[in-house]
Amino acid sequence: MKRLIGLSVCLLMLFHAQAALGSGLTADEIIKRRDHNEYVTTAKAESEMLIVNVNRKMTKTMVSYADEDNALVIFTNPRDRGTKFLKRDDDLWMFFPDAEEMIKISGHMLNQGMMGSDFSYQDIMESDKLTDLYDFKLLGEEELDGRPCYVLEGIAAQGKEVSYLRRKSWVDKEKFIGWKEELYARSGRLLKVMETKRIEQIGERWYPMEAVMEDKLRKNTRTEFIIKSIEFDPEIPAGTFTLENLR
Amino acid sequence: MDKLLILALVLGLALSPPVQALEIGGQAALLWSGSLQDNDFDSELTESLDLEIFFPRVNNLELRYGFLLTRPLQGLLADKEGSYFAKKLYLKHRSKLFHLTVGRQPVSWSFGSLINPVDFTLGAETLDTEQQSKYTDAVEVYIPVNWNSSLALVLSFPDGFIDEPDRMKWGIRGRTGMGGYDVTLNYVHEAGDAYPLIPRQRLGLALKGDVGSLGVYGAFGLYFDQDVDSSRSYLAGVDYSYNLDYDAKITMQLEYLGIEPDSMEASMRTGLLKMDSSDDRLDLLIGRITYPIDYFASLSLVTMVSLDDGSVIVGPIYQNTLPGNIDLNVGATAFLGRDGALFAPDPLRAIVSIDLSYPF
Repeated sequence: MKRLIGLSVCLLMLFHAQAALGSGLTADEIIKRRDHNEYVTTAKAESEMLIVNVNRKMTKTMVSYADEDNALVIFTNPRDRGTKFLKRDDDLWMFFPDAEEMIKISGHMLNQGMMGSDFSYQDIMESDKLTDLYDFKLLGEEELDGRPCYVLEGIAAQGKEVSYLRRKSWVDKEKFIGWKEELYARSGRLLKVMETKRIEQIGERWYPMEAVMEDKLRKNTRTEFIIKSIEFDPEIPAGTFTLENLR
Repeated sequence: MDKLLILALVLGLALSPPVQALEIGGQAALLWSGSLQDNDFDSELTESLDLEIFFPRVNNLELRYGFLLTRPLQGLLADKEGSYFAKKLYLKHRSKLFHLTVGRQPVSWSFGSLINPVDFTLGAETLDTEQQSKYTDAVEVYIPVNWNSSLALVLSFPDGFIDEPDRMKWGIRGRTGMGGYDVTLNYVHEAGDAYPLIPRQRLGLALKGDVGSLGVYGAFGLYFDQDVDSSRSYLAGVDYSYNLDYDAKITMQLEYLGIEPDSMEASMRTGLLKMDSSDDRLDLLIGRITYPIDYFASLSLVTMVSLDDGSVIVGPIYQNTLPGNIDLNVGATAFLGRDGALFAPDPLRAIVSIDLSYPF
């Protein structure tokens, strides 16, 4: 049970939960149904990130590869063309295309917005299962834009280092996809809200293909994330997640 | 006529649509800079075009070509002297055992410090900025050992590809991960006449990792040669992020650099480094702090302090990505210190610059 790492992963990571309610499903069963949809062992994705601040926009495009523990993200838009990030376990490396040099990124940078977006490096490249990081409970059921959803709350598990202490999730009761996620600070303050805008059925699974993250501490800003294409369980060449391949 | 041909070629390449996997990208920039020397202020306007052609990789072969044109328009229109500098023109062969790179290429042994005293090419460098001295005619063999360990051998030709051992520079760098730290050990042998005032050989050790929520790094350099005293350099640095209201993160970097110039000639000690005979080490404290104003703008302050005489270089920098994807950089550098101090405003007092650039 592994979760896609890479920019597509942020979609996956933000929609975990566990709980039980009147439908008869337990929290574990809800999570398993979600995992069946959103959790992948290996993947290759082409994605686009649109950063919006009032009337200014910036688009970043990327290709990402991921397996159980590792991720490689290669930016392809003109401004960042050739910039690469490699995550191996808890280590993050960056390749600077002009100098053609690789630098190990300090751990505290993992909580920074990646390339100026609302998604942190941690959001993007975190490979732990959310169920390993949070304890979830069911809050109830709600309709979200006409879709019946389970509403779940996750609290950071004791001793776990997470970006957000608490998260609240709206999970589709029929398709078992997360439609909305609220992310809270340790103080209880709402930091970010992420909403899925489009899902797609790929094979037997439903998968979130477009999402919007809003930073609630800033006005009129958001980051849109769009998966242009995604391939599940592709054959990833040996040596993909190495410094040799990063250069 | 040559200039017209070059410009036509460049514009033609830049404006033509990509064909198959061939791509062209780069950056057009306009820089206004001014300097205050004594009481005279001089300024100039410079345009530049930085282009790189991305050729498709063919099997294990990769061709890279990138160059910088300075003042191409003024060269054509105002008869001012422009320049062409090939930053990259190399062929790389990749195999499972090694990578071989031949031609003009960047050789950078950076590891995240503001100043790297044990780089292949010495000189202050902030990450992600360009230094033409990093681009050199060279042959590099890169041998991967495991996912984060490697050996790199570089033979460079500072005067171009000339078959004279005394005009060649060479170095070897080993890199590995140890206990979560990135560790590198390197040796460099300078060309005969490259730096006549400093030793031709040096050993360097650098490491970078984390201690709790602090990023930490350090380096040690040993400089030596025949018939001169050896000298050392010491670098220790930390970087840290401070979360302002969960939203804006201030990033800070502070490092100490100590240089013993024992082996340098007296003229360099007293002239360039402004040291007297009692000084046995140059002590510098370098810092950078960056505040993100929003997604597109940031404010930074870079300072360098001479701990020996209290003189200071102060450099505020404002960066903003304007509508239309144009980058604006406004920077200033001021020199502060008493007469005779390392960073004394003598005669250069301050530099200001405004840079507009457009990546494409």
